[in-house]
Amino acid sequence: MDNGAESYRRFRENGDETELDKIITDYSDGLMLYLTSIVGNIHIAEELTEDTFVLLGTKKPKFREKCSFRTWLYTIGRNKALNYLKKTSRHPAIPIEDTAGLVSDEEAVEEAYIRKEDMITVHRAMRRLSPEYQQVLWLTYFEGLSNKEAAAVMKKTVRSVESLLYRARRSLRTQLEKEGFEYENT
Amino acid sequence: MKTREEMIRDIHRRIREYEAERRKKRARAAVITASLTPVCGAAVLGTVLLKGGMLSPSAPPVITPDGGSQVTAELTTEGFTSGSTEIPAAETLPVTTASFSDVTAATETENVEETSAAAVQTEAVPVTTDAAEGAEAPAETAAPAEDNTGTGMTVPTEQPAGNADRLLISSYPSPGSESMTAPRPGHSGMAWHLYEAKEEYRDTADYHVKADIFTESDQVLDAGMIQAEAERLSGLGYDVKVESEPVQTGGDYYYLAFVMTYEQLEDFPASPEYGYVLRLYDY
Repeated sequence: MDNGAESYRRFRENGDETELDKIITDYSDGLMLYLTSIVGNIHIAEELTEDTFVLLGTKKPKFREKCSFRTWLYTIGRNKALNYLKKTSRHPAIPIEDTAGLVSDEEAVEEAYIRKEDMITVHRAMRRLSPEYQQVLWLTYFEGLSNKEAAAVMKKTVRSVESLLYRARRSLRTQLEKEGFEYENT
Repeated sequence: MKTREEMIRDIHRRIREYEAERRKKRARAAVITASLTPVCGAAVLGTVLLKGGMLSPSAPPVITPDGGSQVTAELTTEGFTSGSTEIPAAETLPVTTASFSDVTAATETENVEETSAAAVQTEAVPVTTDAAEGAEAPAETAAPAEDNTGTGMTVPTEQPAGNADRLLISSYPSPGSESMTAPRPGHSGMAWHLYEAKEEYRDTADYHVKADIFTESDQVLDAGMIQAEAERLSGLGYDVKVESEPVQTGGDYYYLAFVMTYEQLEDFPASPEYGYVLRLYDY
């Protein structure tokens, strides 16, 4: 699906807005869910997703193809999210009991984006984890990024991403077990 | 939560707003540059005259006793002699400087010109130096309301309803292009000359403005629709009426005619159904 680089090049060079629409269509849901794992609120993540695409449309930053387009886009989104957190000085994680109203919206996006039932269960369990665990699991399992790409997005070393991923997996497993999820293999 | 289509639409709207704002900033910078150029020119001219001794009490008079219909200026400086130049009053530039405060007071009844080699080569543009009579500067610029030789601004003899004490701008000299794309419904666009006039006079004047209105695809020429729009705007406090002009191909061309304040121009309440092109009445 990663035709984003080509679409973005055409948008940037020819001003073809339909190419930007394609990018938004292909990447908005994934980016929004990823940013939700950072800011802990899908509505704010939606605004930040929009901000990310507005930045592409206005500043038109150059994509240098040092990584995949998705990695690059998610890095921009992550920077937006971190700036947002810095400005509002909010803790990225919000207590689960406060999220009741947000969950239905997130579920709608989640279901549209993640089509497999068991993956949805996993994603919902992920919401109980710390933001860093959520991010690394999201990037590697749902977005299919390699450890190296995830490290680039999260601005960490590959080694620390591997370590984070190991701990995140263990936490996720504990969480899934609590919810009665059965593994076919471990 | 927005649908994807709503998100795409909002993103494009925000991109357009950003680009419009950027264009506006560029235009503002261009206007500032354009307005500073004559001021700097006047400063240089003043310096040259000062150094040349023209502004000293012993200098020969620059105003002829016949009320300034002709001016003879003779510059003699050490390294530079311009000789004597005669210029018809209508083609010259009214200039007020600190050393000519007595002359400034006479501008309403007399044409006062100050010429030099530099001024002769310069296109006529309105110049009011900062030093000239301090706070009276805007009034001097606006003063020739019935004297169209100075600023290039014209005011109709019969002014439309408005504040009679205020300056009413109906035209403005501008080298900018007058052709523009019809704005999309819900937006308005100003012709360059109107924008420049607005930026120069801001809320010290009212603006006599014509507006054409457009739908997504075409200009609205139906008198009834234009009348309805005039009524809507009138309800919002705008001094507006529908006017028409005959067209060569037959029938009439209808448009909206306003007398607007600066704030009304700034905050023009575009209907979501129409796009508006605003321009000065006598552009």
